[in-house]
Amino acid sequence: MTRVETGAPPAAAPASAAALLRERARWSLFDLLFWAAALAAFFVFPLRLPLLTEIAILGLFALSIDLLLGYAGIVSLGHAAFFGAGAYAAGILAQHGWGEPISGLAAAGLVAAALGFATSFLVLRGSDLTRLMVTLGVAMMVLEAANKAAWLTGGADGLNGVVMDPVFGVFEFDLFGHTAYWYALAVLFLCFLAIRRIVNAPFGLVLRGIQGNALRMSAVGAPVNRHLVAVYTLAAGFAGIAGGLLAQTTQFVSLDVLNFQRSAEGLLVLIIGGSGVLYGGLVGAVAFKLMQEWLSNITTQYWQFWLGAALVLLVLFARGGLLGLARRFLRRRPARSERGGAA
Amino acid sequence: MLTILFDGVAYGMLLFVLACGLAVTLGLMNFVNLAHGAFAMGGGYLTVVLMNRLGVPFLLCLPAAFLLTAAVGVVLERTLYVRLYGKTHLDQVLFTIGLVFMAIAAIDYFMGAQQQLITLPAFLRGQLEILGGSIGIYRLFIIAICGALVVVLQLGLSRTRFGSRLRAAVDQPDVARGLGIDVNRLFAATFALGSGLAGLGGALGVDVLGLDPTFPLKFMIYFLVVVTVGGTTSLIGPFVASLVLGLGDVAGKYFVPEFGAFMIYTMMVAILIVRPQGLFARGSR
Amino acid sequence: MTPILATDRLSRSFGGLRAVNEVTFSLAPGARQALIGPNGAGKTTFVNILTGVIAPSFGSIRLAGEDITRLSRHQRVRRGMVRTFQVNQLFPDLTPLESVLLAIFERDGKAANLRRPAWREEAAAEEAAAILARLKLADVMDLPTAEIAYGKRRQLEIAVALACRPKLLLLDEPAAGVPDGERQDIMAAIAALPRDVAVLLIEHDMDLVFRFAERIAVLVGGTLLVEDVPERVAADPRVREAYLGESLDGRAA
Ligand SMILES: Nc1ncnc2c1ncn2[C@@H]1O[C@H](COP(=O)(O)OP(=O)(O)OP(=O)(O)O)[C@@H](O)[C@H]1O
Ligand SMILES: [Mg+2]
Repeated sequence: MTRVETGAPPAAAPASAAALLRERARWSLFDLLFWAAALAAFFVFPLRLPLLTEIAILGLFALSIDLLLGYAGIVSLGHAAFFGAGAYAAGILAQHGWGEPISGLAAAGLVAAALGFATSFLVLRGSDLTRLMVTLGVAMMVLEAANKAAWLTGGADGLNGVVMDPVFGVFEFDLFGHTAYWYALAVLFLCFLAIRRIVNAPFGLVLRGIQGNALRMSAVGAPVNRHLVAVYTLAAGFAGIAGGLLAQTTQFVSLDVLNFQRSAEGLLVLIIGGSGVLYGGLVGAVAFKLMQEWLSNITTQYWQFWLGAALVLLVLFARGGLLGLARRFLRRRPARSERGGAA
Repeated sequence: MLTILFDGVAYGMLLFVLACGLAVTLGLMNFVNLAHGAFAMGGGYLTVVLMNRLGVPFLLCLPAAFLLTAAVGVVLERTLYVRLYGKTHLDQVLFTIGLVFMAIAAIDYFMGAQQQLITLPAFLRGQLEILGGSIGIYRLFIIAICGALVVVLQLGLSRTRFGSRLRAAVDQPDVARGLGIDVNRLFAATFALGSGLAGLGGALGVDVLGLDPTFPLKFMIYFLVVVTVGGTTSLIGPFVASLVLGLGDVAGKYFVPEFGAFMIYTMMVAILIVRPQGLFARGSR
Repeated sequence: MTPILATDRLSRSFGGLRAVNEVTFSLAPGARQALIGPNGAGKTTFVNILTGVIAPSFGSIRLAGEDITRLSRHQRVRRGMVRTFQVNQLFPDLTPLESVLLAIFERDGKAANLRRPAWREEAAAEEAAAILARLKLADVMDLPTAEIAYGKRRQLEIAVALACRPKLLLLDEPAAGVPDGERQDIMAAIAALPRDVAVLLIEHDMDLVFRFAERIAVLVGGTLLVEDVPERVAADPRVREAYLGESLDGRAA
């Protein structure tokens, strides 16, 4: 029954406990390759920079869902609420003359985190089903509020007149999207580092513990609710930063940053890549956008059908996502080592 | 005032017929079927097609909507849903969201994105003046049909063999299996009934709720509220929850139109704060 | 001396069933006590009430003199009352090392740390490894819990509880379903606990019970029948009657 690990050479054995833990948290070749590819993409696809920027934003959004779903096991149908809150926060700030991007982005993250904190108390209550209802309900409420508050958000017409200052006062947002891509990629990378740190810290263990067995968590003295509030707030904050990025790089915000499709898309992206794995959201975002590009060449209008079909098929046949599939093929290293560090 | 009461009750009863199938699937197999609304939409579109293209009378469309969606329900249950029973709620959620998207796109493809209209038969149109209020005859019709359905369902559940097996299976699936109750067949039958009712609700609702391809998404939250607030242990819970929701929504839209759309969310939040386990939870677990 | 645990008429009914009925009970610090009773006697329910998993219908609980009846689960653990579960409640995706470490982090108030990598907590890691070694889990400490053998998982139940550094340890059938050899390991680990830790052991195996316990309480139909030294409990006719047919020493597992 016990699987014998033969892959890792027992050269350094017996390893100390700390060394075993550290092994999980190491940077690997995959990390290097992934980010090198992200940098290289700028030079290889100079004409597709807007698409690449979208991928980075979507990846960050999915990464924030991963923190919540993949690590803590909370199913949310309304994560778009935080994405949208961040987008509107950054957009409205810039529209009112505060065009400095980095502080704008920080504000987006804070606004979304505040909204996440405020609504987290509802999410704590009850079962999976209650959570589905509450997360969906909160998101719809925020959407309705944004729709009604047209004086602030522009309502159904969207938020126009977003003008950004140069990044660091130097790099203008240009028509080709050069600055936008570097900016989005840098923000994505920094957020990735932060989330990587979180999941490798004791709190990451806490999150996986809650997903694994909340009853046992409380029996080892964990204030489960307080931990859940913390992770919900964090995930909301990162989603807000992703939303803020979208507002700043496209200089426009419309109501569909808040809609259900956005939440579902985030989930789908994560499931494509593989949840509970740091790169799941990022790999998923790449695959998703490429698929969307490819499909929209064939059929633009009924894209949603394929999105649905993808969800159905993934659940039936490839629950671990792309990284799960890859892992099955590359069973060289212990399967778990991807948790904290690589992939 | 009377008008609002009536509209609210009619709306609430309609919600109940739409959502009760979901409550049963959830209670019976612990299956979260977010695609439930797609069955309702199916019933609605079926009615539209039958009436507007084939000239079938409205009253015939209702049973047709029930039967056809029930049939589709059984087929999907046996072929697709059955693979998902042992899986996590997350898988079920993702899977059924996928179905919703496919249904929406398919309807959009075949029927277009516009609102669908039907012309009710003459005897269901118009208003009745009672006690100084005016009441839509169609609302009365809805109340009558849904009311009858509620009674039939409740009696069926409490008096028939099917009902007692169903209750046994909902309460203790393992015990029911041990007693030789074929839970899978029971579930297929129930699923069919639930989808059929959703289809019927969709057909009845075309004139009241409106019908376009986004129907399953628009009403998803209503269904979820009905089952979480009402619970899945009896039909009374979802029924009361539907009425409260219907009345609240109608009254909200009437009295505070600016705030109207927030009404159901506010109610949802309020109920959750006061009774985190839902209105009708049996004790604490 | 204040008892480490004292309950006053603690009760809980499920519908009409009185699963735990007016149990008044106390444990001295460092006690080695067993709680026995036929299947369905309410032993697990009693532990569930003590630890806050379910609320009592009536009655109160004091831990080292403090009324904890209304405290949340984790607050009780923080005050030193720790339990294991009759049916494994582990973290299937975590390794034993991570599971124990998690308990240590919670105990030391380090769990909410977002920044410092877990592997930097070397003292905690060493402590976790030591606890695992004590329960003979060293060789599997780096495998996902879901992949280790059942007997080992039973031992991990205890390891995780020990990591919380209990003052009062409630063990709900720790050796249930465990093969004989490992059963001895488990009992040895329990016997090796520091003397200032009070232990309440729920167990059906009378061999283990009589070897371990300095006092025995018998719960039947939710009611506390007797609470006394082993010799007198064994001699008590009411206890024999409660176990009707089953001999007191050795119910086949
Ligand atoms: N959550 C619950 N709901 C309803 N009844 C319950 C619940 N938990 C326990 N019971 C009932 O309470 C009684 C006591 O159960 P409990 O599990 O405490 O017994 P036990 O002494 O631990 O038995 P065993 O030796 O088999 O573990 C049983 O009749 C059981 O069916
Ligand atoms: Mg028990």
